[in-house]
Amino acid sequence: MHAFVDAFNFFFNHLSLMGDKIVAHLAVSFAAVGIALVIAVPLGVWLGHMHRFSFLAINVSNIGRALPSLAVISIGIAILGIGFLNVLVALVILAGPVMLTNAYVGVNEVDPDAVQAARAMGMKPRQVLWRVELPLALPLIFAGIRTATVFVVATATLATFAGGGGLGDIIANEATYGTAGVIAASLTITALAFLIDGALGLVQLAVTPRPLRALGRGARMDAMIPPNLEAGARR
Amino acid sequence: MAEPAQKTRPAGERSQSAPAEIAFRSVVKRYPGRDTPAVENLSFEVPPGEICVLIGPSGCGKTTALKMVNRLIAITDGDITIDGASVRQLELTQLRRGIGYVFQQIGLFPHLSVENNIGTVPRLLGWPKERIRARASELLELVGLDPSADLKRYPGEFSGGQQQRIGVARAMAADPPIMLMDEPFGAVDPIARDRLQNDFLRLHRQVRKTVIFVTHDIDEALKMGDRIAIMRAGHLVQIATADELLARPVDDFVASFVGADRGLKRLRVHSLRDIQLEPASGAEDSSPTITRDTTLHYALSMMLTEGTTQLQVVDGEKGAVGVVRMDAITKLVASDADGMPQPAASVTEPSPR
Amino acid sequence: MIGATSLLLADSGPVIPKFGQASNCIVQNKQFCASWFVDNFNSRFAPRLVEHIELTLIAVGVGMVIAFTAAILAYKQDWFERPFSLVSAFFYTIPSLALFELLVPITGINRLTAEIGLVSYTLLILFRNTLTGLRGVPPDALEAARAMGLTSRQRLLRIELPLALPAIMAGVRIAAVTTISLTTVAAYIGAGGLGAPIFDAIQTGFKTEFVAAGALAVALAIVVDLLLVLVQRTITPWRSRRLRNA
Repeated sequence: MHAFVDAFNFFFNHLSLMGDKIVAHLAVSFAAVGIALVIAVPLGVWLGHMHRFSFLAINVSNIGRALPSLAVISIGIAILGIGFLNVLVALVILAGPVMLTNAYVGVNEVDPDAVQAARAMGMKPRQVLWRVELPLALPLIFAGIRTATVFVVATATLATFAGGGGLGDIIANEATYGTAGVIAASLTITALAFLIDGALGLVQLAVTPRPLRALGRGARMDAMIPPNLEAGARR
Repeated sequence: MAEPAQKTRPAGERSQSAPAEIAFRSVVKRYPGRDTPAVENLSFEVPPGEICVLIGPSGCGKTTALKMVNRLIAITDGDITIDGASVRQLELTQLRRGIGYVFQQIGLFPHLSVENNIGTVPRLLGWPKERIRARASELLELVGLDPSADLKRYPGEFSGGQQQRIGVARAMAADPPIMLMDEPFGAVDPIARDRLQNDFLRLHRQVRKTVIFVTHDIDEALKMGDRIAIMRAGHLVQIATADELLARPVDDFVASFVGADRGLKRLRVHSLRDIQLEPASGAEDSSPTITRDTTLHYALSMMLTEGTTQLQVVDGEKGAVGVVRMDAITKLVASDADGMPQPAASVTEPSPR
Repeated sequence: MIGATSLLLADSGPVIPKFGQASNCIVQNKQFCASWFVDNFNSRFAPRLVEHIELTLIAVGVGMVIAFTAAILAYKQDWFERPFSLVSAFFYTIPSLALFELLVPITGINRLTAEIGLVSYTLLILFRNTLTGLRGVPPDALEAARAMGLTSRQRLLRIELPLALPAIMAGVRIAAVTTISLTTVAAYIGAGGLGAPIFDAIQTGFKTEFVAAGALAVALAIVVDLLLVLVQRTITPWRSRRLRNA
């Protein structure tokens, strides 16, 4: 247990170092999630709305989950060289599929009766999308964003091998920072992951239409995709 | 549904075990923390080969009573015997392998083919493969399915009614002397239910087993049961044949339970064989005709629709054997049952609809 | 860790094959030099690929045995679920690199350390999925099994486990793919596998090696994923048959 005490001491003795690393770590993580979000979610929503390409949309997340993170970074180094950009692209590739599949499933599986009623009322397809499908699909879409974010934060540990900075720098360098440093950085990443997961969970709850909340819909939809912990496989 | 193909079968295979007698002796079921017992002082017998229906309002203990026979629910006090042997003393798995159990949710094993579903207990008993396959084929035909196509299929490929037929076949596979059926036809639509009931009765005539059948539907009870036991709040209120129950309900509860229209219901239980016909005379040639095996219910209905008060009765090749008048029918229902003939056996044949 | 990387470097052999005879592609360090790859496949990549597969197989195999037993225990004795979940979740949450590094002082720089780490990662998902699968068995099938006189052991082997298979296989699939990914990182502590050329390349900057090793790992993961889907389809034939219109 005094390893933990050492780790705590390390953290507080190296606040500015930890601060820098945390910032770098989160910067590349959130940037990647942001970009992936902008690409994957609209695409998934659109495919779900059109009810097209379901096989692809659903299985793309399987492929995404299968991709070994270090391997993707490795290929990225060859193409984009070392640095922030490579790590960014790799993380986007790893985060996208989950968000796409969730967005697709979320919109595709919206209660068809609700959609039919909306159409019968005279709503145009675009209005159906914005007023009925999206609000009902938001919880699941959000769950996907949440899963992807936790996953990215964990995987960003590997950014160190591609010169991307972040807390991985400390973990990969036990010689310099000692075991205390490794534990401190690990705990930090874990804490960050939990905090972000929790924060996004609250946002997800806020975004679930109130009536669906009571039914535990928000939580149940969560169960449709791999639980956050498991998708956040630490690479 | 397909009629069984003509095949010589070893006479024994169909029904090797003689049906057993089931007896409840002062059976009590008490649940901890509850004041009133679920079943109290339940005593009755089911003679071998008979179908006894347990019926009553929700919570009356009918399902509890049924499940105590194969000890899915433990008996608190009293005993249940099968051919004299106490179920409390028999070894549990041996007891259960000798009882066929059919229930509303069916419970077929989704991962096993129909053949393997049916063969579950035979396999436990160590039957060789060929015997199991032959038995499964035979049973599938008996329940109205097609062995050549269906043996290898999986339960998920069948409709609810078909699944329950497979469930019945599975329960009969090891030729148990008794069967327990808990609202077995409750989950299907009325038309399928009617067919299932008819098919089961037909099957039962061929393969006599002692059956305890639980239902909440009084019409099903009257149709299926050789005797019907009405329960209420854990007690047995009356056990009698359908006709007896309808004619002489023992109290107001039973009277209202069987339905205010019990007079009409009795008509279903009797056929024109139970009525003294009046001699035919040439003058009645114009009345509509009806066969002698028809229920009184249908006969009365025909009189009403045809707007007549009498019908000519024909009996197979004998031709016209007499005439029946409406007041003869109504008199049967109004009278006390003393001296009335028991309904002829043939009345269990479903009336034409 | 410096010791570990020196080991790796010593192991890898000359990067630029022959002085004065290096092909253009290599000298310019283009992204992917196919001829070099083909020439060196057997010596550099094939053994790593085999190592990688071995490491994964052992990790998933051992993980299955442990998690499977634990899940059956938890299925029969509710209280067991919590402690096991907590422990496996704990291992799951630690960043893989950190776990490997922290194990080194205890078990040394070798494959055993890597395997311990890899097995720990599989536990949570395999345990969870097996338990969920067992609990998801339709209760009416269980009631029928009880009523028909199957003993508790017979029910487990003939009804509950087979019906839990889809969930179990889904877990195995995720575990396998996750392990393949983590094994690349395990090379950092000298376990071998396809991560070794990647870490080599980080020192040398040789691009073809990055692409080759990375692509091989990706290919392996996808092939294994697809294979397991096939296996799952084969052993659960009742899932793909649809209801006939009766």
